Amino acid sequence: MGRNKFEKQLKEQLQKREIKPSKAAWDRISQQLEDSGKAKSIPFRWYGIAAGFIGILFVAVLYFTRDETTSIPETEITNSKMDAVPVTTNPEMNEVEKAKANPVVVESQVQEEKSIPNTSKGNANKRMEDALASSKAEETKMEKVVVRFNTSEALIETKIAEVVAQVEQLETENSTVTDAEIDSLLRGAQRQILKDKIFRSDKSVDAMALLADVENEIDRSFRDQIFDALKDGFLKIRTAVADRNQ
Amino acid sequence: MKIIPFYKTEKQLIKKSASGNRDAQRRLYEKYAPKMLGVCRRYIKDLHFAEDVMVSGFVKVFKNLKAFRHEGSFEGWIRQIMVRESISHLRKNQFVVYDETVMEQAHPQTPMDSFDWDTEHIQSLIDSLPDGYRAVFVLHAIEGYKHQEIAEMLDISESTSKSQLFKARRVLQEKLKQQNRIGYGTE
Repeated sequence: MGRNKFEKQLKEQLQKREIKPSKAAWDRISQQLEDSGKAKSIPFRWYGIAAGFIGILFVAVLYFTRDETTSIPETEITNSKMDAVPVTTNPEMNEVEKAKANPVVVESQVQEEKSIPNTSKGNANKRMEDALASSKAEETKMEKVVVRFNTSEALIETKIAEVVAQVEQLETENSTVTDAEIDSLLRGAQRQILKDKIFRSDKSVDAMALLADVENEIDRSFRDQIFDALKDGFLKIRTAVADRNQ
Repeated sequence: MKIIPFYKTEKQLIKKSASGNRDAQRRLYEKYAPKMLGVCRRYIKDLHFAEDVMVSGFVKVFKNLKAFRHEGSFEGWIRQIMVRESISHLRKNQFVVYDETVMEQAHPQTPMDSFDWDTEHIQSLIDSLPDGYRAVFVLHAIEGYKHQEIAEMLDISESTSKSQLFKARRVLQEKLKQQNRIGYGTE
């Protein structure tokens, strides 16, 4: 009982007890509340800045990619216009024909590539003729749109004749002609045609043909590259061995 | 001249404080700060540390004011936050609660009669207790928490809480004996 009375008295007196805090206490509370409020608002602000930045980036990317895509047709249009002018003024100039002749040859090549796996070796000549005939058909379609000129046609015709002769020669020599051989012959002929077109009759240079020629030189086959690398390696080893033996 | 209070009821004051109104928060603080500093001081001997704990307690009060549902008394809610804040301060400073055997049957033999000490004297008596004893004694004898609740708050077993209380009482009894002897001139 004594203990309970004692503790009850302690409790009463302590619960009544009040201590006045220092004046700085409220300022500290207020400061801490403001700091926590700022800490909350800062991430949102940063999110806003980040979102804005991403938005600007997105718009910039869109703008530039759009600019690129639109610029390509524009150049095509100007080319066609430039090409169209000589057609009307001077029928001797064959710029339009040349510009159009390139896709024809490429298309014929694609058709060749498609047809090669399906045919047997014995029918190589027939295939060649079919392929060339189909390329000719394409050419006739183009004729409806473009004015054709005898000079380039004659060039293509002579090349076709050359290729056919080469194939026949190969057939007589080896009795069989592989698809790869025909393919390489056609490609060679195509390159030759393009090369011949670089210099025009009026001694000017055809930009498109020149570009195609340069690209051909750049696009070396994988085999060539491997051979070159092997050659380099071999030469290095040879010099190293020679140096060591001295 | 009659002063008309801006906020008619405490509920309005709490509502305004919860919405971040600094003036309302200050009024609430001024009303409860002295009592709450008294609460913190019971657990923490140093007044400056006690005030630090009270400050962080009030920051928590204002941050979590929206969670107050007006179901119990507001003062009780703040007091609870202050007690928990004081305990966490003690725990941060690694106060030790020795897990010893229970001696709840052994009641103090010396009767603790009524006294006429002032509050400062009582506080100094409680301050003389080791941290662990003092926390359990104040929580149980002054705040009225049960041993189970104390065990949860201090992360100790219930039996430890009981033994700590017993020891705190015994120390207080010894102190009282000494005070009485000095008071009656027996020493």
